[in-house]
Amino acid sequence: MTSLLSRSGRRFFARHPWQFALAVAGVALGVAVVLGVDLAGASARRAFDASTEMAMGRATHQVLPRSGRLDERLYPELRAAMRRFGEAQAAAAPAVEGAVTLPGGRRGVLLGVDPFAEAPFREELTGRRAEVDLPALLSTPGAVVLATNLAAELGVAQGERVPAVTARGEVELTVAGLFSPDADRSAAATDYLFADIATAQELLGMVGKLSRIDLIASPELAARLGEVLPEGAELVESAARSRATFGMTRAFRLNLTALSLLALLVGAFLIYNTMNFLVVRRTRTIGILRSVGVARAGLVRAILSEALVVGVPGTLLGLLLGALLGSGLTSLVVQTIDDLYFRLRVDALALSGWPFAKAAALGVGATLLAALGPALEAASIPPRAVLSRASMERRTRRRLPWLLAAGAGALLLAVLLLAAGRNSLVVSFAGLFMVFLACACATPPATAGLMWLLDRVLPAGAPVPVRMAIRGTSASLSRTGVSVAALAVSVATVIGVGLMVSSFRASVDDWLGQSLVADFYLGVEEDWCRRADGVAPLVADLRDLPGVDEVTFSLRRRLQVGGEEWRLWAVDAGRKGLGAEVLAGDPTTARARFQAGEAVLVSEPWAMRRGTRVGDSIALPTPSGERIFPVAGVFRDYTSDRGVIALHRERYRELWRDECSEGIGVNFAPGTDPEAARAAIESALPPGSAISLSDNAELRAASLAVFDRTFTITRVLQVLVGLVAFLGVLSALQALQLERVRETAVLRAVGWLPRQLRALVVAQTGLLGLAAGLFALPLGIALAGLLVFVINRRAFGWAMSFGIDPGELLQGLALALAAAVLAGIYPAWRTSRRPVAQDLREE
Amino acid sequence: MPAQESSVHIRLEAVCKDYDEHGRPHKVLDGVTAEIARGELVVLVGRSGSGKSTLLNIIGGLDRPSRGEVRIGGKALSGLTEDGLARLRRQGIGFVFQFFNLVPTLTARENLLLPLELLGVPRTEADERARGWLAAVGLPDRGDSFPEEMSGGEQQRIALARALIHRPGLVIADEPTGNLDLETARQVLGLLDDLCRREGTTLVMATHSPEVVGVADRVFTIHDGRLEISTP
Repeated sequence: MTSLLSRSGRRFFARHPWQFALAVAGVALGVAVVLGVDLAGASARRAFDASTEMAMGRATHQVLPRSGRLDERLYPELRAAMRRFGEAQAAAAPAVEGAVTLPGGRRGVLLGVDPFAEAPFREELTGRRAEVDLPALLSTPGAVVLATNLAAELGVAQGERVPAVTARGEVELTVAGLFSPDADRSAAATDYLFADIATAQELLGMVGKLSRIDLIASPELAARLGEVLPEGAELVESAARSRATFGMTRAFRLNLTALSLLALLVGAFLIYNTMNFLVVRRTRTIGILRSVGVARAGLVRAILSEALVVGVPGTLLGLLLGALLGSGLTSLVVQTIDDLYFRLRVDALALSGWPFAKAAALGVGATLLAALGPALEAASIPPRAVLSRASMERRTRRRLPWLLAAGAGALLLAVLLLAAGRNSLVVSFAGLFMVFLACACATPPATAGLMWLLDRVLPAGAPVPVRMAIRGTSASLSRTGVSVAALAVSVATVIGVGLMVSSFRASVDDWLGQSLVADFYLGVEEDWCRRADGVAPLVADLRDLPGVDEVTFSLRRRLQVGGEEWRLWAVDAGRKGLGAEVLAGDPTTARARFQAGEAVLVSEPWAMRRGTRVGDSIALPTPSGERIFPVAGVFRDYTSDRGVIALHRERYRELWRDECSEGIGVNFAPGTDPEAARAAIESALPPGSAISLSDNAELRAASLAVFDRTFTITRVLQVLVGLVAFLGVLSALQALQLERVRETAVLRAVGWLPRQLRALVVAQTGLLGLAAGLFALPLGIALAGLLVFVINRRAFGWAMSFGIDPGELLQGLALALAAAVLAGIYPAWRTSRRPVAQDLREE
Repeated sequence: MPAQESSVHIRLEAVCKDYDEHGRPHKVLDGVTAEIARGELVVLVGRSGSGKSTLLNIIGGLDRPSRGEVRIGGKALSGLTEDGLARLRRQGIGFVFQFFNLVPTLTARENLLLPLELLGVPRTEADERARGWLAAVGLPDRGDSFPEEMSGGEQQRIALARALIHRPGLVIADEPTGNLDLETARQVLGLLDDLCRREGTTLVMATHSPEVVGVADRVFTIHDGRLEISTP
């Protein structure tokens, strides 16, 4: 019997292909977004692994300088220690690493290694994929080995020369060998050029120095070696270092996953709608089947199997779309990671089975879950039931208080999860989803309430069609409630994320305004700075320029501490002191102690992640040993979600004996003509130096452009969630149109013009949009508040001022209305073209 | 007996209607020709599927004939667009259906206001007329009731009032008593006959009920797509 029900379901889909297509599209889009985000994350991970492998080879551990560089004499000492500790399989190899600029501005990494010691670590120089002229590599000045694809890109062959710029200035490299990277590493390989260590030290101005020493060693040996290292060096496990580095992107990736799951959730609303419609349409059939003895379980099975008719093709299509979407999203994810965290290059999507299996399971699972409600509804239909549509709607209305109660329960759970998730981003996101669920549950009762109110406040003489539109929305709550919920959730996402981004942007803009106080900024390449033995001569020239009031300095350095990478910001902001807002500690005292170089300030994310408080101490590894600094304050900073430690540049210069500065700010006396000032600075720049010059506004605009670019992927995902919701509304309207064929035929019979019917349908959809938009406003604001005060704080460690931009709210309301009205156009057109006589006969 | 030319309200000229049935043409009406006078009460009878509803739909401008012509008040329906047909229905035709077909989201009074609002009747006058018709069909106190709160007979009485409230020249009734018990059917039929005769409205009604035939001026019997006209 239930197979007959299934057959009737299949026939229903065959007769209503649009309904079927919309439901399939909803699942497909939801699955596609989840898979696309997953694939993009996996591709970024694979690209990162490939890049790490290119840089580290098979090293199990690395000896890193705690600050600056290692003395190369450490290498033979380490080898001697290894021999002493006696481990046959162990290996060590020295490495120097530095930036190189190739023709066309292409940037790469020059990696200097010892070809003989390097064999256990990598195959680029000695493996079967390499064709290297070893004598030439060792003896030719500027000899390098590069990947075949990079050589093809540069248009050079073995033995040919390539002009390049390194820390030593303009140099000429000679291609002494080529290696063919495997497919996984082909993109990462184009970033690396290998040279003999002595050549690289020469080219990078690092004679006598090493960037690191790679090791292949057992944990026991590594532990023993760690004990004999000098104070300025640290031994770290390669895998842990790589994990920690990629782990920096976790919060960003988790945010994307949450957004993608939201797309699937909205897609599940669509399935629920379709399956519910299918049950309502066949109440009589189901009642008759029950009367002839079909058990409830059989009915549930039948409805769930019908859902699979939608879910399976939808999931399959979603997997296909997801693979396509993944390649688009990968470039956005990689771009953001590149902007925010570390350099990453990817040329292909990482297609492995696991993301596909996960997405497929989610698609089918969400379908079955969404269909479970309607299936249970079908099973609850009494035998011989001949329930009218009106009585079905009455049942729905009776459930409204329960829905409200469920919403309240979900809200309570949300509060508990958000409170419990202080240290877990996943739990916090679960809380956020519960807020969505609570609002989705509350939407049908709220819709009923809103329509009741509108009906009451409508003047007695209001046109009947207006009243029909209002009551029609209310009278088909079993259908409209879910669509309004889906639309409200997606519009709330648009509003919430929009408000969060605008609040964040305003905070960043504000912070830039406080931090960027100089009139002009010079971006100084570190390589140039090293060649020039510091910026002092340049600064002297700048100070001599007419009208120059003050010169400021800024430099960022990475420190290796306890297996972690810390960021040190050496800054001298001049007389005004550090512009950024001091959030903890007495601002005046903190600034004064910082200015005097006796204390450091830590950024907000640093304090948040590590629980650092004012008065705590931080030990910084300097070339002359560890130095302890008290923390005088916590300052606002959006440059890194890992956090930075700010130290006055004079103190840094003294301790690190480093005369460089990456950023130099130049302030002119008030009244100086900006054009003349710019021309004066340009005249002071040494010829051939790659020093960039921007004025305050340009640097601020460039910083905000990076900010905007990092949110591109969020915007894309927002659009996709909105698209699924749009399909949901379209599907619901199609369903309503099918259910109201008779009603509309009667209206046509009494003389309604087709355009009046179209207007009625559009008015109804407009009401749905209005309801969704109105409900989305508070939900969107609440979501924005949670993102600003909870999620962002827990994910990235920074706080921001929360502002409600009325433009974002209006935009959300307009979006809801536009989506609903747009979705109503086709059903309206179809309604007005249906055969009246036939529809009047249909029961 | 054909009506006098001046009093002819509806003229059917060789009306044919074919349907496609699994790729084969199925002839439902085959050259139906007839004239119906203004104020006349014509009953259409025939077996189920004989084409009664099809003919009613064609007369009411809800469907178009495959061939032939229908003239109402001298106006050829084939020359009217969809909008033109809609205007003709709103001004000159009222419909009564077997399943009442009241708009479920409107109250009884609002259902009555529907045709008046379409004609732009001022609200106060429309309210007045709705009150009058509610009283005329014996339901003066049910104006604020929704269709689902009313019995079948009550719903059909509201449907009668809705069909007549805008004073159409023609009422088309398709099995108006087919869904009612005998007693209620008798009441509704009496009301329909009474109201149409009082308003001078032409009534074309399809039915299976022998009782209805008794009140007709003429009986049109459809058999094999053709019309046989008789007087009861």
